[in-house]
Amino acid sequence: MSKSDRQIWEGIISGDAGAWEELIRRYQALVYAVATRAGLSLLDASDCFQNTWVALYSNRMSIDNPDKISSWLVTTAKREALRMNRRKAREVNVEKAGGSPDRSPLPDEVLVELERQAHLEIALEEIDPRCRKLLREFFYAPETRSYEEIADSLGISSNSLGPIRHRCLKKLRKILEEKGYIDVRKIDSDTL
Amino acid sequence: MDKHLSRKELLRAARKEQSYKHLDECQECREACRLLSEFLVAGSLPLKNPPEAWVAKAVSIAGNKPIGIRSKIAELIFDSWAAPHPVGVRGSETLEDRRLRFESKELLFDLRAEKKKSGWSFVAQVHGLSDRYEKSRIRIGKEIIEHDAVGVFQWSSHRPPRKIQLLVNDSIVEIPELVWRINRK
Repeated sequence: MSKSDRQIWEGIISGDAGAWEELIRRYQALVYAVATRAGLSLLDASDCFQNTWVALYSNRMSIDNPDKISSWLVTTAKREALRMNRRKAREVNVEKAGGSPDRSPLPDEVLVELERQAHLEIALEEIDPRCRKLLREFFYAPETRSYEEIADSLGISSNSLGPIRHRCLKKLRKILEEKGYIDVRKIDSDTL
Repeated sequence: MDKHLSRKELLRAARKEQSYKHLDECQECREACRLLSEFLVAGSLPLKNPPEAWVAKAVSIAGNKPIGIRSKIAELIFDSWAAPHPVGVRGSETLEDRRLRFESKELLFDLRAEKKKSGWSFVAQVHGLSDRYEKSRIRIGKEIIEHDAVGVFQWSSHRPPRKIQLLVNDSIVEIPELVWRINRK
């Protein structure tokens, strides 16, 4: 069974360095995405990435809801990126009086989408390779890509794609539920 | 029951662009649609992982290891003020221009300083950077200096700097403390 964020967090609180690494590896791509999409340079993105984890570790005793740790990371990384952008803007304005930096903050809806995407990818990492490959296509392929094309790329017949996809989605849903990434009641009310 | 929805139809339903009666009677399509609407990533690329060095540094936070960036120290390999003067040139003639070269394991740092009426002007360059290191900056105190389009750093100040750091990728290369007095013996 895959660990939920809460279970990993409990390990961190009890001083398990392995749990700390597990959490970083789980959310590294998410924090990295926020840092790089905020328009930071690579060096600043590196600082933003580090500072986010330092902030989490420093505040580990005051995190109220470990189930929302990904939201906490996204918010902290965004604030850190904005702080760096403001600092950069001041430097630019000192050098070029009147110049305004071309930097726009990340909209909240983009951050929510990034967080959801990270949840999906974390769940996909834990599924068997065959399902992972199929579901990556199912979720990520452009809208114009048909089931026939997906079946072709996976080397299976389009007739068997449907049942396999259904089984893989059930597995994925189980992992997402275990991790607390989907609201079970909401899905059940929709699917029953 | 109708035929199952195509992926395109499922995506339209997930985006609430269109409704399909089939979804009311087919749990399989309804669940697929539900998950697609939860994770609407069609057409986008999977998220990338950061460089492994970043992750290793973040992991080290919990191990009570230093959180700071890896630091290296460069070595002074040439100082025009320490070089013998050309025949016929007085020591004071060379005081308004200084060339320095430092070397660390992976790079060379050249610095040229010129004394002007109102202070000092500096030109510097970092050599030997592979693609991995193409991002480099100079830090003097709190000031960060970026290079220009051809990789040259230029700045001026009232006083010459004592401490310079090169910020290269994930590393800080420390330049040995600079003394701006000629030791006359």
